[in-house]
Amino acid sequence: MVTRKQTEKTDGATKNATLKLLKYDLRWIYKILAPLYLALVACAIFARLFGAIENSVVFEIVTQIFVGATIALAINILINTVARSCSRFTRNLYKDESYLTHTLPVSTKAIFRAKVLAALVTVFTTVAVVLASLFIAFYSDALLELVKSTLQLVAEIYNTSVIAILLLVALVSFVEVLLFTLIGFVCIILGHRASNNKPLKSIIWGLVIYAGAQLLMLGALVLYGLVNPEIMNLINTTVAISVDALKSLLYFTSVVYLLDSIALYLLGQKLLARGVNVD
Amino acid sequence: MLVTCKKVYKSFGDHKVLKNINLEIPSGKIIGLLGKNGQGKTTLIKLLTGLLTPTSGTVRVNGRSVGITSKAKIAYLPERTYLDRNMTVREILQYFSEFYNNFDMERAKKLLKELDLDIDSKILHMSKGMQEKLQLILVMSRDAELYILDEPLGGVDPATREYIIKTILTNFCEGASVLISTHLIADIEQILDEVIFIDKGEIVCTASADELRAKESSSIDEIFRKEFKW
Repeated sequence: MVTRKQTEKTDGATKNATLKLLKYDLRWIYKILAPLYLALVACAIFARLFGAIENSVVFEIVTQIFVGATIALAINILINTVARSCSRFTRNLYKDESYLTHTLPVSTKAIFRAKVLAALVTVFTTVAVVLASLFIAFYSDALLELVKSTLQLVAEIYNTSVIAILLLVALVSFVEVLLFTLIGFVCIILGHRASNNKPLKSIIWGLVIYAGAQLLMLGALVLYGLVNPEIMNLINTTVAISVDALKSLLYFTSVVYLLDSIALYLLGQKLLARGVNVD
Repeated sequence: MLVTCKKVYKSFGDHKVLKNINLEIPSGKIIGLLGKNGQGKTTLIKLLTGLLTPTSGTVRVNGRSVGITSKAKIAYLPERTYLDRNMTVREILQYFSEFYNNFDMERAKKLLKELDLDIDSKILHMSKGMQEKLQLILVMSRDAELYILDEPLGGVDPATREYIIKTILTNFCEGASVLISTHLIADIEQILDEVIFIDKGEIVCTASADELRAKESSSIDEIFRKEFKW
């Protein structure tokens, strides 16, 4: 019989295992991302410094080179962040390294949790570094004023504060990143349950799950429309909806995405707990 | 019984790799899992380590299903290199000591010295042979209850084979069992307490090595060659 004390001990061990796994996952991902972050910040600083030198054609060209490099690196880092997380997931769970991962005395739940957390952490550090670099490279009083006034305007439309708007944007971004991360991982798991053509089947599963999530959203919106006529207008007509309805729509879609994410998270854990078949 | 397999089947699609495996592995024995290539040795080992799930039947370690507890007690050396090539030897040792409570860091360092392996070298810069030796060190530095070594002698020169056998014999934990899968029987037959012959996915013979030799009046290697002619 499993006692409460034993359950607590197991939970503690799993949390500890998650943290240990997370440490190594982050280390692996940042091994590539950290130098790229540094290069991006350096390019942004150089773009800023050379841009400050006026009346020189040469420095204008150099500035443009660094501006181009900053943008190219920012795009590269965004792609690399997603690619590294997916690569880590596949290598650790299905390639040669899986011989170590799956023989560690840790639960598959802890392995999955660590991978999801690592992906989320790296996405948000990447977004933070990219935004900071763009700010360094392109900041000006006029630009700051433009951002401020835009946020102020949106806040007024929504009848709320700028902080609340920023928090709402952060929430929506978090939920969307979480959903896409989980779609990515679950489709890799499902694709690797097949005997052959695993990468192709992973992509197909990804498309199927994404389409499924969007259909669910549409179905949920129709149901919501039954109790909120303005939402139904959004589906049936081209009539513009009120700010209040738009606000509730944003919250509603965030909740649906969050529920989708929870379902996918549990599905991913369940599929992994059933066992993997390592080649 | 340390390991018990009951009516275990494993199929990949229509291909049946293991058929009706019934097996018991006691504690404190060195057991040879012997068979030609492609007869299901690695598949059986993967079932014991949790890398594969049986199509039907049960695999139990110390009376419990394969899981966190069994993985903590089993030290497994696969036939392929599985280490993260970007890590250094020191980082790998640290990794093992963090995840396995029974990992003996001092023993690992001693074995590395014996092998003249630099603790700060990157896995990426090590030859495949050196990586395999490092993996053997990692496995034999654990105080496990069961050591599972899949083809530890495959593709290595006779001198290295000797080193591997010596490392196994001098480092496995007292009271533990060692399951060695190989088709190179002559090299290890002297250290085996028991043998399991596997052919076409079925266990065709389990016996005490001494009793089998006495009964057949020949070495295990000769018996194997006689039984499993192409």
